[in-house]
Amino acid sequence: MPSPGSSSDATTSSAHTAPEEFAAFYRKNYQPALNLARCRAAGADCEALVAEAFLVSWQHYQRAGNLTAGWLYGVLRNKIGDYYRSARRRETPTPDLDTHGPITDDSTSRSDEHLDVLRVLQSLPATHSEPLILTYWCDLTGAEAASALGIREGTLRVRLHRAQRAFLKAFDQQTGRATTLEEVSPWTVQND
Amino acid sequence: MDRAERLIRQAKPAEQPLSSRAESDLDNILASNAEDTTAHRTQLPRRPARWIWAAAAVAAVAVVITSVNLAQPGKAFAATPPMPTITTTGQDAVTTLHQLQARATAQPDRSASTEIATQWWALSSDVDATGKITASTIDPRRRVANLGPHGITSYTDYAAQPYDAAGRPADDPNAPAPGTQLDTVTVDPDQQIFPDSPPTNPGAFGDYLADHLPLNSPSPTSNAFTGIRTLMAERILTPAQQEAFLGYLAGLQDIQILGTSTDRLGRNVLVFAAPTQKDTQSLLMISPDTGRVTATEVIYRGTDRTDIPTPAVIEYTTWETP
Repeated sequence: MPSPGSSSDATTSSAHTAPEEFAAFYRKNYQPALNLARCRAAGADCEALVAEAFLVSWQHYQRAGNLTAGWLYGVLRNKIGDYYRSARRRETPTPDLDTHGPITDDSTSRSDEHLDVLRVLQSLPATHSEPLILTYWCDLTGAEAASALGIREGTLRVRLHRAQRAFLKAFDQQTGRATTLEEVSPWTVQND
Repeated sequence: MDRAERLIRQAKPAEQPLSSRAESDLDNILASNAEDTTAHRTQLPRRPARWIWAAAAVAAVAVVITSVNLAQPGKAFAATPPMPTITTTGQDAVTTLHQLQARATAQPDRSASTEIATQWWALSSDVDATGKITASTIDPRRRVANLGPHGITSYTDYAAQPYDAAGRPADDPNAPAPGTQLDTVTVDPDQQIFPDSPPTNPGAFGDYLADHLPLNSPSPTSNAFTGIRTLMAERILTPAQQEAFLGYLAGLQDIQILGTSTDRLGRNVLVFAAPTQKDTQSLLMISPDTGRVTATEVIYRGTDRTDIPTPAVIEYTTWETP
């Protein structure tokens, strides 16, 4: 039986078996992973993409004993990329490129502002949306998000700030509001 | 917490119990054989995509709008710094950059200095509840970065004298007094973008910038300008490094020279430009006397913004001691 991975995400208790630890990891990360998939590939069968990413993670865990959130999200990003490549091969339109359509919620209505945020996140290029989602929705640490994106932590920091600015610009354009100086990180201004 | 972070976190779908499909997928995954990927994939059911965005608490987010009670009606545009006045020279960029290389190598080495002082600005607009711009002064900032042996360790921002769109000192009742300390940020070693020294070989400079700060503009010159601005916020280049950077610029296919001008501190500069990308154009200003970068600016050249004129300066950074 493989030993637990080094990431704190991977372990719940040293007494747990590998399936138990993976199940805990799955339960903890399933919803954030689904959020990322839905934002990046809204027209896909996102639950299937997430399941495939977890499957690869499970196989990796069984072989190498490592189970980290950064690795999982890196796999999921690849799965999303596969989905786009597959859609292009079929020469079928990718529905998720229609970022102006309504975002529905099966269970409850969301505030207009929340819907605006979702639309803006979907409209941003992946270089902007992924750092934002991984950090603020998936609650990854800087090291985990950087690992998922395959970049250095310092680079993530810069990308995150650039993404914040791009997000605010798009959000304010959508809502007809101007961004004020105080809302833009001073680090961003000089270091993007 | 920044406004962007607050907005996104508040819109985060709420946690929900695993759906029956997710539970089923978990069971299938755990039952799979690690060596039999293909067989297992058939066990993961394919179902029509559907949205099950979790229920989210509808929290009213207060959109922070600074309301300014001005006697005058709303302005058509927010104030932006005066556009640089540029006089064409007829020189070509490559020849000029090679000339600047020679000047850069003759300069004293300031890289052991422990401080980088810059002045910067970014678009600032006060709007009322209807979206009308009510205040339009320019509130610049002064940043003093402290350097250790391996680059930036912290920086402090100070308020500077507001001015209007014509460049005249302005009275902004909402602006902090000039000299007021606004923010101090510690930059840990692992937060540095450029933790190691720049190369002295022009051929290596592009890779150095790209390795540390991957950028996705299709314009190499735009990426180089952004890269040097970020690098010079963290480090002071030696004359050899500055020469290498200029040599790297001279090899870029899309760099242009616009002419001569003066930067925000009144110094004579040569203005180089990247092609306009996504409605913005990056400028790099270099002293013709020292060959050192004195400023960067970003110009908006689009037509779809209603809050600023076009063209308009939307960012600048000026190094007090380049």
